[in-house]
Amino acid sequence: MTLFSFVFFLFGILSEIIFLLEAASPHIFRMEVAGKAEQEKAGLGKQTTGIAHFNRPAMLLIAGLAVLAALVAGLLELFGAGGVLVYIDSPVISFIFVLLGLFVLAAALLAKSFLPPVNEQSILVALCLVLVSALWGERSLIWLPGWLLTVVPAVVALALLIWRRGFSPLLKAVLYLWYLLSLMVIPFQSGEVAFFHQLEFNILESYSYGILLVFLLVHCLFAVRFFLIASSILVPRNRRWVSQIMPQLFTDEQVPLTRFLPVVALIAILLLVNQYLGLLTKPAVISLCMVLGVQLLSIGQSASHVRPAAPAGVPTILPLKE
Amino acid sequence: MWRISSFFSSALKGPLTLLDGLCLILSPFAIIGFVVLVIVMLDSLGVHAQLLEAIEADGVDALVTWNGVSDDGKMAVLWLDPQNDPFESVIVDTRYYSRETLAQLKIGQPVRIRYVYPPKHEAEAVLLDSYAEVKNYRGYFTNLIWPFLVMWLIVIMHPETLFLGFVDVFPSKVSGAPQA
Repeated sequence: MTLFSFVFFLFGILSEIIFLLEAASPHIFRMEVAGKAEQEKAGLGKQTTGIAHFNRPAMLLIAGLAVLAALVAGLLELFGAGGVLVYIDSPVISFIFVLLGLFVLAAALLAKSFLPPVNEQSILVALCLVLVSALWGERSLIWLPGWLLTVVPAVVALALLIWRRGFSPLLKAVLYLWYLLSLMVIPFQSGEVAFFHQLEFNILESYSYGILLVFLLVHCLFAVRFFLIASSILVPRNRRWVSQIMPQLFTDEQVPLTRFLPVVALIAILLLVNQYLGLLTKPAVISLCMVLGVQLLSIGQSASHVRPAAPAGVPTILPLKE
Repeated sequence: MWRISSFFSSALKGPLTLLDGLCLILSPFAIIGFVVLVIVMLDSLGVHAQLLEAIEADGVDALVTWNGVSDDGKMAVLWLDPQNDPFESVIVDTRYYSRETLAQLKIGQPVRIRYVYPPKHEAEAVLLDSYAEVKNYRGYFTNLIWPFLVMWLIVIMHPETLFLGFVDVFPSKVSGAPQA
């Protein structure tokens, strides 16, 4: 990778860290900490829609980083250093990757603060994108159980979305595990992990791969942890803990249609535009749309907004609002 | 009858409690071990898939002389053209083949191989006549399955560490307890 590309790759990594932090812990980016009543009065407790999406501290921070990345890349080109190849074993680059590794480890441990809480909508979008990848991607899904394992949870998510009722935390755990695994399906199925071994990247590829690297690493590591959490359901005494953590990861709160439909339209437009312009490979653009869908449908939702629904006798963290 | 079952339940209680405590102590280490094993398995799976892909897409067939496996039994080095270029060699990873297949090969015997030129896959070659064994190799799962299952079982029994950061699984004091 050239130094020029690496600047944008790094920018992608930092943007994704900010996106993850904002989606999972929106309070970090609030300018002032106010009481709940004051926050609601100021609209902070509500989900942001439309142009308000882009007028947030996190977005301004990313815009600032974009300007900085462009400046640094411009200066590198001006001094003729943009084409210098960088390698992972060089001291500065390896130091950056060590920091990234520590961040990923911390994010998997403190998942509550880094993983965007999902809902039926984001799971549905992720699973639909797996289907899109299977039908339209470079490598089709020919394995029948693979089809079933993709279609069945997608139908379940759609049914839950229509049904609009809270359901058992144990079922949520299974669905959430499947969502985490489906995030990994596209990169692994397409061998797309290899795109991190490419030698030449354009600006968009560098930025996208920076985003994907952080998102996939954090989710991959947490998927292993959550696989163990979900399998601990087998022992009845562990179920109370699973019931307690699920409301923090899986929210019943859905984004309004005025936000859901534009996000779906945006994803469709991105896929079509990429089909005509060929900016990114198909698996890369589908993975990127998945990241985009999950994060845009999570922003504004935090664990404090969840409406936990648990069967009688199962303890929950928050009392039911209704 | 009741006395016999009571005797067995009291006799088993001690060892089971001990086993449970052992699982509790080992659980954090088992989690780390489990994660490491998953990473090792996925990495091996990726390397294997890449090798198959490279062999099928860019493989070059050759007829070479079998030189036997290395002292540690892990690989065999084969020279492509020893007369003209004594340095051009490829490596056959022996873990992909059964003992019977390797035992059938005699030193000096010609073997058909398919290899990928460097730098695509570090000049790794496969024995063409036993390619099905390479394709169906799952040793990276089967060799690690027992430690994997043991660690998994330990974590299932005591997953408390997994919930840290989400739930207070080791409460310092019981809330709601009657105050003195």
